[in-house]
Amino acid sequence: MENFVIPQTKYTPQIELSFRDRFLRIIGDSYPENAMEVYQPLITKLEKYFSDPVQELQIELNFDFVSTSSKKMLTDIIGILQTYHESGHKIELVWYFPDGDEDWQEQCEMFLEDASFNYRITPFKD
Amino acid sequence: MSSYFDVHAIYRLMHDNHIQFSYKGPITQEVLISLGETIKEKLHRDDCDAKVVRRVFSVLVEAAHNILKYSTEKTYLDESNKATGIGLIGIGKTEANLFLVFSGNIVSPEEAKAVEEKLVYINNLSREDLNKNYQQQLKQGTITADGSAGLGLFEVARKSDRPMEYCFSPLEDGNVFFELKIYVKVED
Repeated sequence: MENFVIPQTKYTPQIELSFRDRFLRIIGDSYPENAMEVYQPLITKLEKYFSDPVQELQIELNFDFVSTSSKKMLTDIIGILQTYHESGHKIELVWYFPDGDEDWQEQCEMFLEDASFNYRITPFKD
Repeated sequence: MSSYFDVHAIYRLMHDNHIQFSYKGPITQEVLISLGETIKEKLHRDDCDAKVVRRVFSVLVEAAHNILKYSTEKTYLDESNKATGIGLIGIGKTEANLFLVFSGNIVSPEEAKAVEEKLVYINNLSREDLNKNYQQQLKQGTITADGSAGLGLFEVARKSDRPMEYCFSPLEDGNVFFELKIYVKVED
């Protein structure tokens, strides 16, 4: 399976899902008019990724600015990952937030409140 | 040459109200990016805290997306056949420690009613209940095909330090002019 890569733009993040190296990385700003268009293809790829009985995935998320419709999509993605975790896949996630921004820290905690896979919320220094 | 259009008056009005910039026209994603970059650059240059820059930017983006989607005044800019809403948006610094983000656009009477109900509801929430409502909408709400998650005004309220100020003015054609003013504190 080939890697899935969507390059970064000024208002959408770089999204990279590596089937070979088993990682998902999303980095950048995210405030498109329609977040569904940006994240739905990733959700479809994740379905394919987890079609193997037991998969591992290392996830790294690092955003600066995210609009509400993107936050909604990210919440849904976290929920989907939780479902995969409950069905036996191994998921580890690191969420980097801008150092010193407690809005972001609080937001990350909200995103991951119901997650029972391994995760860390870590300040990121530029 | 005489003209009713008084540019100087607009300039003075903006200057006297400490408006840093304002834009009226189709709120495309490109316009939003350049407004966003301008404001980010300016605030960083003024040594504004990065968290505050993100708050101001957040309010700007949600206000812009509301215009883009809900303004009844629309224009078709490209071949994608997708309409872009027209409106007014801007940022000012009305007091030393307060940013103002404002927007104005025309909406249908039905939309005006729905938005007003939501504004009244959100403005009456305590900070704690606001966060609870936001979180609930984030988790249990649905996102429509055009990317609306119903979260915009909740987010705007979370980033502002005063109740959201708004005004609905009926227009002759039956539509309504909707204006929104949001204040973001410079420091905690």
